[in-house]
Amino acid sequence: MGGIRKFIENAGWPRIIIGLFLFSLFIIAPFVRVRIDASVSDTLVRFGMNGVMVLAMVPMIVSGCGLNFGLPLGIIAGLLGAVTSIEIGIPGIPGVLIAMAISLPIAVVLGWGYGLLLNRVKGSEMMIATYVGFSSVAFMCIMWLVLPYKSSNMVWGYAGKGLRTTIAVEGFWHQAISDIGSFSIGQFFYVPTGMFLFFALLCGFMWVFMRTRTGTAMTTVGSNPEYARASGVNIDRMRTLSVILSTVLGAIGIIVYQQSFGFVQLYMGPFYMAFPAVSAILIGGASVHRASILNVIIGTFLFQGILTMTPSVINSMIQTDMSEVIRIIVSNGMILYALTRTVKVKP
Amino acid sequence: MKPRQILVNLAIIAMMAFVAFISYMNGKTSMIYVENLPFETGAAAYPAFEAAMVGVEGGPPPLFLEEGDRDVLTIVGRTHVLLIEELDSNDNVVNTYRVTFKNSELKGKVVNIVPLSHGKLPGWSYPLD
Amino acid sequence: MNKKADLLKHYLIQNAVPILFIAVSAFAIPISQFSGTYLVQEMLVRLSRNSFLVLSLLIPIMAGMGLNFGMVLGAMAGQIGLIFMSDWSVVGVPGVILAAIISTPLAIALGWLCGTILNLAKGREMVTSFILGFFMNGVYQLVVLYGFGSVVPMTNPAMVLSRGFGIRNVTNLEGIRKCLDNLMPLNILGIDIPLATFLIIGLFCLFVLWFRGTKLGQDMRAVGQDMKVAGDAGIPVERTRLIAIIISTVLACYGQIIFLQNIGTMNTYNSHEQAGMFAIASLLVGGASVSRASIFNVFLGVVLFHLMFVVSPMAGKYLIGEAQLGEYFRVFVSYGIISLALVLHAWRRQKDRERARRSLRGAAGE
Repeated sequence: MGGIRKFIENAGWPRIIIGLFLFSLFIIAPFVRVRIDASVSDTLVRFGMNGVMVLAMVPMIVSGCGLNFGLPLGIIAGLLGAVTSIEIGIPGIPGVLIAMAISLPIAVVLGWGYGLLLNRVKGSEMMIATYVGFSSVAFMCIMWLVLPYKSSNMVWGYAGKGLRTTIAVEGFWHQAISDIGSFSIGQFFYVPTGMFLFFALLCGFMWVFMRTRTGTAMTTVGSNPEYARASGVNIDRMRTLSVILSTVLGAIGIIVYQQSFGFVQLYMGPFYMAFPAVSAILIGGASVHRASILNVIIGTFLFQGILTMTPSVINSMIQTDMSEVIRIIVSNGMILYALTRTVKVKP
Repeated sequence: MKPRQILVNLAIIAMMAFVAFISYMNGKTSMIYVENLPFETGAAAYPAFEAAMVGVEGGPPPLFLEEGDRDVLTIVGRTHVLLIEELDSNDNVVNTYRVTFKNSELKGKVVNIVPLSHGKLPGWSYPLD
Repeated sequence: MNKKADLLKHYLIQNAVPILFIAVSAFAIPISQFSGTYLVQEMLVRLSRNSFLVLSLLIPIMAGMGLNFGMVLGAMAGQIGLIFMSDWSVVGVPGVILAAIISTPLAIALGWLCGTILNLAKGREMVTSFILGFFMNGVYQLVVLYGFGSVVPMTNPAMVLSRGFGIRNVTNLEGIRKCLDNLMPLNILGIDIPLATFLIIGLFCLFVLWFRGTKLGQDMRAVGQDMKVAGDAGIPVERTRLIAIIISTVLACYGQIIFLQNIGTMNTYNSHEQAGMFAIASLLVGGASVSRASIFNVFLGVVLFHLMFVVSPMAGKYLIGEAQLGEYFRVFVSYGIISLALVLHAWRRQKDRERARRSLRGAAGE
């Protein structure tokens, strides 16, 4: 009994409720004529799609910079890489690699500037991250119109200049990563093994990194800054490093997302993209100050599971589309819950 | 909370409820049918107007009613002032009638402007058949 | 000589945001080719429409709770009041009064909810109220899109979606369109001035000034300065903060009603979303900061922000050939200005903290 109570205390009621809710959706699905294999497959695909962006949350939480609402900055770096890769026109895996290679330096530079900014505003990182994210998306809206891209797949037909809002990745590297080692059972069940392997690879990197000296220094900066300073760690440098890491993962994450989704979404597309990732990691058990890779995996699965199952099941049940509203309530409610939890000082 | 605070709070709530009630009464719109039909009492018979412009004083543009027409008018609140302009066959204004009536005086949703103009003869308002 | 230069520099930095805005506007206005009369009329209308919403932000700032993104909750309450008013076909000024009175209890309840949650997240009020706004948007949609017409009876079928429940996307407020504005019409030199609305705004400004002097107002200022000291002095800190948010939410509710009566139509699911963002941007443009805001900031901010709002699409079109660019420029500036103000505030706060810590450490170390 004590073990269960401890589990509940550690996990927190909201998470348990969400977990049970998702479980019940899977149970109900066959009774309302929703194909289980399609649902599970969809959930798995979305899990792979979003996993890396949720992983991007970890470095900044761990180093004490809070939830990275400024993920759009990394996403923009990724978008620039993707768009340039399509402009160059090389298909398949090399295309994806080019996209990542281009976005990497951009992400590092953006992350570095962003990190410097966050270091000057300790204590208000989250609010400023949000608005820096918003402003940069708005700024890029202007840039997408003006940048000299020429590929006919991407620009508006009329004027011949200015990127379109949505650009199809079809014919270039659609599902390039997902298809590695993928298999299908029947018509509805598709498993994108490649994407999972890639996600696992990145999780592995992160896990190893957290155990290196730099990684532990970063964690100490977040959990015990005084001790870190006393041990001679440069707090500001660690924080900037975590921000750069987070931004880079965001760039890689959006490329993984796009190759599975099939479209590059420019202009206001990335505007709210930080929120699902923030929500996912919080659902997975992280808090504003502490996060682990397990949180990423559990959280992404639960969150994407709800996003996939709710529309199909509830819509079939009561003949109305409540999915959007439920998504808003669940994801924002989770963030709210995390924000209102005070850090319990363990003796 | 001190008793005086509770009393003041209740008074404020009562006042708000009262103002809400008054606003509702005065702002509620409803629709009436106005028609231009000949009217007969035991004493006299009144022919319908050749044509008439019927409207709420100070309100939206008036309705045009020929003999036998029935149209819909939106009225706001509890007391209404109708401006009825009788027109001849050349659409010149022959007579102007200004009638005031209250919601409570309405016996139904239909109003015949003929008895209404000639002094609110009983039967000027009746329910929809 | 040096002192004057220092003073000037300090003044420039303190008011960097409005000065920047005035510069950009001065540049963009001639390019946009709008006439002076048009701009003055447009600014007057926007002042009458938006000032109340921006004014509702003053009190939480006074109480040290930062920018109340939760004012969106008040806007939602106001909209629900307007839905009922439309459903019952009440028009004109009585309609507006009825809508205001109906939505007041709802606004108080939502304000109480917001305040309680903010008290649980001390030190993170702004992010929390920001997310709370999104969350309540979901709840609002749940109630209005599914509850109205099914659980809450609607008498006017024209307002309900064809499936039988849920309010339509656009609620027609033709019945109250400009009814407050036209209550006391005034026309000077061909420019319409909505006198009644300005009177209401003026009354509210007097209320704010009076409130600052009351005990509750003083308590809020004390809590805003330093929560711990105020608590030690016997002020009920949590309750004071809660009241500040409740007042702000109720005022935002009335502000949204005033806003919508001017426009005349309500996007049932979208009108409130931008209310918070634009109000906060306006306040910051007027020179307010996260910890200090005055009535002057409100009016200056509304004028400057909306000036840019009106002018940039046209300026963008004439300057670069694309009106869309002007649109995006406007969006960028709106968000950028909030970022800038937040950064400046946080930067200054951190500098103060570091200076304080260094002085302590210096005294102990040496």
